[in-house]
Amino acid sequence: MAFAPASIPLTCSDDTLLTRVAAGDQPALEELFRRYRAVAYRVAIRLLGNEADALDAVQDGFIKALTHLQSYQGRSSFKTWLLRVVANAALDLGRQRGRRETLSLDAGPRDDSREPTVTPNPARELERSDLRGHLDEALAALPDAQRQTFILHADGDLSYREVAEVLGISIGTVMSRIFYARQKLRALLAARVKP
Amino acid sequence: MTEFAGTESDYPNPRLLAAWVDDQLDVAARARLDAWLLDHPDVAEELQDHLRLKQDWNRLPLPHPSAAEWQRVLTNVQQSVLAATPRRRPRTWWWRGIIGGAAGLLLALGLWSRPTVDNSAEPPIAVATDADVDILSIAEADHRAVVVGHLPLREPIVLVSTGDVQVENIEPDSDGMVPRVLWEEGPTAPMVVAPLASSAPPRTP
Repeated sequence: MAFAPASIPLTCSDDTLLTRVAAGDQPALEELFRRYRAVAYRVAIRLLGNEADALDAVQDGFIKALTHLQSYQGRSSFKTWLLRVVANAALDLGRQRGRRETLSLDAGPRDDSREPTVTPNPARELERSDLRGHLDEALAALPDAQRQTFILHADGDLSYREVAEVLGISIGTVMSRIFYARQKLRALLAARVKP
Repeated sequence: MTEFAGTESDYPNPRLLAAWVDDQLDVAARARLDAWLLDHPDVAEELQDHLRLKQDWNRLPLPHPSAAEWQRVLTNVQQSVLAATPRRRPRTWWWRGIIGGAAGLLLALGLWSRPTVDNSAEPPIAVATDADVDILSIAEADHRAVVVGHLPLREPIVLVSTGDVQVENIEPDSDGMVPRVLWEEGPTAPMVVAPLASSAPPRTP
C-alpha cells in the first residue's frame, strides 16, 4: 500500500507525517526532513566542528530515527527525539573520526554557481569571523557533557525540560551545566581575545 | 525552582543564574534576584557577559549546506528508509513451515552440542563511563560506592578531580553534623576529599 504523491499541508502534524512515512510515503518524509534538517544540522556542526561530518551526522540521524520509529513512543516531541538521535550520531561520528576543526569562517550558503559578493564592511566581517572562530575554539574546550547540554539548548533551541529528556538527566543538572558552560566559555573567550 | 539557601548574602544557586539569563524565572523570583544583584555588581557583570555571549551566539550565522548538498542527504535518507520499509509479500505459508522447521532443528542441535564458552576474554561491563556521570554531590556514606576511572583499573582510583565536580552546597547530615571537606591543590589531586569513616578524625560540631 502506498499513498499517492500529494502536497503536504503545513499544518500536518509530525505524528501524522510519521504514520505516513512508516507506510512508505515519500512526500511525508521530505516534509519531515525539510522541517528539521536545519536544527539538526546546527546541533551536529556545533558538536563536530566540521561541515561534511555534520551532514553525515544529520543523514545518519534521520535514517536511524525514521527506520526505528517503533522506538519513538510519542512521550516527547518528534523534534526532541530526533535531536537525541542526531546528537548521538554526531558523537559516534566524532569518536570514529576525531573532532576535526575545519569549520569554515565564511558564513552563508556554499554554492559554486553564485558570483562572490562584495562585503560592504570588511572590517566588521573580519571581526565576526574572528569571534566565530574564538567561540568555536572555546566550545571545543568544554567537557563533553557541558558542550552537548549547551548546544542542545543554544543551537537546538530546546527548553530545559526538552534537553533533560534528550539526555536523560534532571532539569536542575541541565541548568547547572548551562551556567557553568557559559562561565567557562566566557573565561576561555577572555583569554583568547586578550591583547 | 531552588531558591536562595537562606540569608540574602548567600550565593544563589547557579541554576537560578542560568534561568535569569534565559528569562525563565517567574516575576517574583526575578525581582528577588535583581535585588540581590544590585548588591553584588561582580555577579551582575558576569551575568551581563553571559547575556552578551548568548546574543553573540544567536547572531553569528553558521555556514550552511547548499541546495545540492541537502538534496544528496535527502536522497540517501529516502533510499535507506525505503529499503527498510517492510513490503507485502504473497502468502507463502509452506515456505514458513520449512524455514521454521529448519530453525527448530538447528536450535535443537545447538542445545545438544552446546559449546563451552570461555568468558575470560569478555571485557568487563561498564556500568557507566566518565562521560555518563556528573557527580553533583556525594554523601559521606556513599563515597565508596562511586568509582570513577578507566577500565581496566590499574592505577589508583581518583574519585573526583579538578574540573569534574562543582561543590554547590554542603549540608549537615541527618545527625546535624557537617562533614569535614578538604580541598587540595594540584592538577591531579582530588578536588574534594572526604575521609573514610574508619579513619575519620573526630568531627567538630
